Amino acid sequence: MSGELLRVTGLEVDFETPFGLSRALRGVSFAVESGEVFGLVGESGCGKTLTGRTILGLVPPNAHVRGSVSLHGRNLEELSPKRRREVRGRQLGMIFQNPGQALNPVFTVGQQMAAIVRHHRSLRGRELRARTRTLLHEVGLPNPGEIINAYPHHLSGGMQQRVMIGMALASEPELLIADEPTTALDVTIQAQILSLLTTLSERHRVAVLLITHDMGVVAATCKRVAVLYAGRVVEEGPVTTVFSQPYHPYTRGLLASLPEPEKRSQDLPVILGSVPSGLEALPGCAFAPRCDSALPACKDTAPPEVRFEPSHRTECHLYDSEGR
Amino acid sequence: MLMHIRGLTVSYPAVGGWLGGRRRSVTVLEDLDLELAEGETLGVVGESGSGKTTLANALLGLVPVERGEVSFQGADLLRLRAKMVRRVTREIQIVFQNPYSALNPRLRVFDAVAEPLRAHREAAPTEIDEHVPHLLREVGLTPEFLDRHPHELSGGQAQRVVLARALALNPKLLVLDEPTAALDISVQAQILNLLRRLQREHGLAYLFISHDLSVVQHLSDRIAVMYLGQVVESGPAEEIFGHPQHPYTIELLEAVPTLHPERRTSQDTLPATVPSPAYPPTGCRVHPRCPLVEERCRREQPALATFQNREARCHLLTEAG
Amino acid sequence: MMTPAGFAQRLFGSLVRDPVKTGGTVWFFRRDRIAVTSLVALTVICASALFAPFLTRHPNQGRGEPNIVERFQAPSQSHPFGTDQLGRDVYARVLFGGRSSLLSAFAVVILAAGFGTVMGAVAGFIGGWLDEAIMRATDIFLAFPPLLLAITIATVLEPGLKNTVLAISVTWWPWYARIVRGLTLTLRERHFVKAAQVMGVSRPTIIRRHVLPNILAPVLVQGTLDLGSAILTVSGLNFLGLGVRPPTADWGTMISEGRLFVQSGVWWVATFPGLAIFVSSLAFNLLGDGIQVAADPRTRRLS
Repeated sequence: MSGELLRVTGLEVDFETPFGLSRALRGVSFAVESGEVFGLVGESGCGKTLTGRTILGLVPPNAHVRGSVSLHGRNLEELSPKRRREVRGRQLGMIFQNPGQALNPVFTVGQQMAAIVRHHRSLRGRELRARTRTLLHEVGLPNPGEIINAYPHHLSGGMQQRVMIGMALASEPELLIADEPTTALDVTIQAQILSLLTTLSERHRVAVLLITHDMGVVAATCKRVAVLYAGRVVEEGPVTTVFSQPYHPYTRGLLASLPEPEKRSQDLPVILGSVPSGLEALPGCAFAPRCDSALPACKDTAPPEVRFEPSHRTECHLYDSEGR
Repeated sequence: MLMHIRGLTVSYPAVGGWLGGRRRSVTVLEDLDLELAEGETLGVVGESGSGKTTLANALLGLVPVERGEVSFQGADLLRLRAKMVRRVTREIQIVFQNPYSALNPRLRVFDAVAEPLRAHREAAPTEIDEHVPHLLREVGLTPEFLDRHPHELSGGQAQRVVLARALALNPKLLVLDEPTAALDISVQAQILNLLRRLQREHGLAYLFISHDLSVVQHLSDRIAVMYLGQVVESGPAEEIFGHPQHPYTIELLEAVPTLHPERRTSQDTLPATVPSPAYPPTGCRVHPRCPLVEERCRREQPALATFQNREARCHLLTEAG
Repeated sequence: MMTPAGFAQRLFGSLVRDPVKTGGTVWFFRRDRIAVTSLVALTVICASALFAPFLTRHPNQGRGEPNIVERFQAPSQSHPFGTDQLGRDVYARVLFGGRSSLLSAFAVVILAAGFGTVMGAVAGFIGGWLDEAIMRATDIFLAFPPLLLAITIATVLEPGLKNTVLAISVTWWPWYARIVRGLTLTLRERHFVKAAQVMGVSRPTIIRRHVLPNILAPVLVQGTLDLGSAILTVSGLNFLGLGVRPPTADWGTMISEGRLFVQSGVWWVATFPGLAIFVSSLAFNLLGDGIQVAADPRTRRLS
């Protein structure tokens, strides 16, 4: 590993709503290393999409952001707005859930890609065309010559997503933020896109922040994972240990509630209750009202951070500081 | 047998050519044969374009059927007179993917659940007043939800209301069209458990349509794998998931991300695209993406053949016996 | 890429789904100052038309009784808006004129929206040849300039308030039919409509319970916006002498009569009914906008 690429520390985002201040992120912290695929999982409303957008600087005007986002140890907040935009534009790429909506239907794939390539490198004519073809080739599209002249609606969902990834790679970013990149796709196509993302991280040293609700996707692609609940990372660590030995009751409940072959024809364990809204004040652990093993302290005291192996941590009252 | 489907074929007219002059049709379901026993769950899996949602719509009379036979409790659904259809089809109800779209935003929970009872003049108003709360309890909701509107419900609660409404007419068969796809994981588990309980208590049969194989596997007794409007393999769930035979089924199961990827015999699949149903490939429909393709597969369409415990549509399997 | 508005919608979506009762259309509407002001203004205008006889000392002049002795008096203490060529109090005439103008505007919109909505819902939901027939009918109506068509119809029929209203409604219903048909086509694909079909609910019941209530809000908005134009159009036909007969007061006819004297310095006879038309049609437009914003969660503004 060549060290830390992205570090998010105590990220908080509040929204002004007619119903009062809504706390969408309540202090998200995690770090992504160069060239790794890092998973950010959680259910709807936990703040995973917002975290990705805040890193990219895409927050709506009624949001208040606190906390810091650093790239290579450099806090983006300390840069001038112009410089910040440059750094983000060059080092971060973004892939969305619905590639069909992210592509402009009136331009060919080639025109749209060329526009982006030209923005990042001042290439012209034949060179520009060659670079565009290389990018299409890199994302595993079989015949770039044909695809360049195709309009987005000529392509299947999987091919459109490959084009989007190609466009995101145009600036040769160090980090790709992929927000549910395969949710709209069929399983066989999903498998291909996920293997493409893994390949990119291995061959081109591009780190991927994979935002998803699908634990299976994380298990198949990611090296490390952060589990988000109510705007906080409740558990973070290597995928193998988090999924085989989860410490936080929420992670445990989530994994247990997945249908798996061994649990066929059995009732699945469930997590009762529902995710708290951002409007609720949560002085203690956000999961306490739904937690089977909640202690009296969980209700009103914020849970401490507990480290197990050096890279596996959770926020929970059930363990003391030595991880017991 | 509760339901017997024979040679079900559905086509949509596709307008093409200058000013819609030349019309051709797209066959989205072709010669489909399926059987469903009482109290059984048949899982129908397939990717987009496989025709699984069209199958649901055809059974419920929401799309016109070109030919074929659907016999339900001995009555041929497609040839019944209008009045009879109403009586027979009340025994088949549907649950859609997105509960918010399945509920009229302007109707209270009470009115939504009472609607089928009123439509069939099932019960006097006072009986409806009693029966609706009872139905809500069946799906695990308290009577305090009666006056809520759909936007005041969580996804799981809304899907429970949809289930209560579907149960109102005491159906024999529920068509479940991706019933948990729009829900969160923790809510999905609750709905799956509820579905299992309702099946047990009411002797319901389920036609469970989903692209999520782990969910299908969890509930189904038998599985039918669909591809481009045809069943390519069907049989008991353990058999299909444990020992898939058809190359497409194998590819599909390989692609499902599981929590234990280390158990999988990993292989990189070829960049495959599902062809448009408007231009199905010649011969075996799976051949353009099949790793084991032979010359014969490109020319001849394989028939659905029966093996010991399953049916499959593949030349190679037929040859192997 | 998701727009800030789209993002706010997602945020709201999750809030509104909370089991806590939160604000609906009315809640948002009450926070829109312009719309509330318009509503207040319109209430005042409608009430003053309704209670006209009690709001003036000259109700008989308002109904048309001449008072030649006091003709062409400039606005003053006793006649706040002055008097007209027959010596009638213009203030009283504006109050009474509001009765015919507002009444006919409401009648036009209710007739056109009502008929158009039913036609559109039937065309969209039943489909087939019925749809084809209704849509071709709207095509024919929409191929004529509406005002000219209304003038022609009003001329052929006998001049009078009822026939003016009828003439304008005939040219307006196709707009509603089109909007409603489009909305119905999207609703028909919604799963709750399909579920109702599966449950064996009859088609008229589906239209009544599932289709119409869900298109009511957009039709209401369109109707409110159209009330403004209805006042203008009715006034236009009255101005041309195709509507109410003298001596009944009407804003359009008042302008028509008053315009002859403007050049001789008698500005008040035409100006005050003109202002009444201006204020009420503007208020209807602003109110319509306000309802639209409040009723549609996607356009709700964050305060």
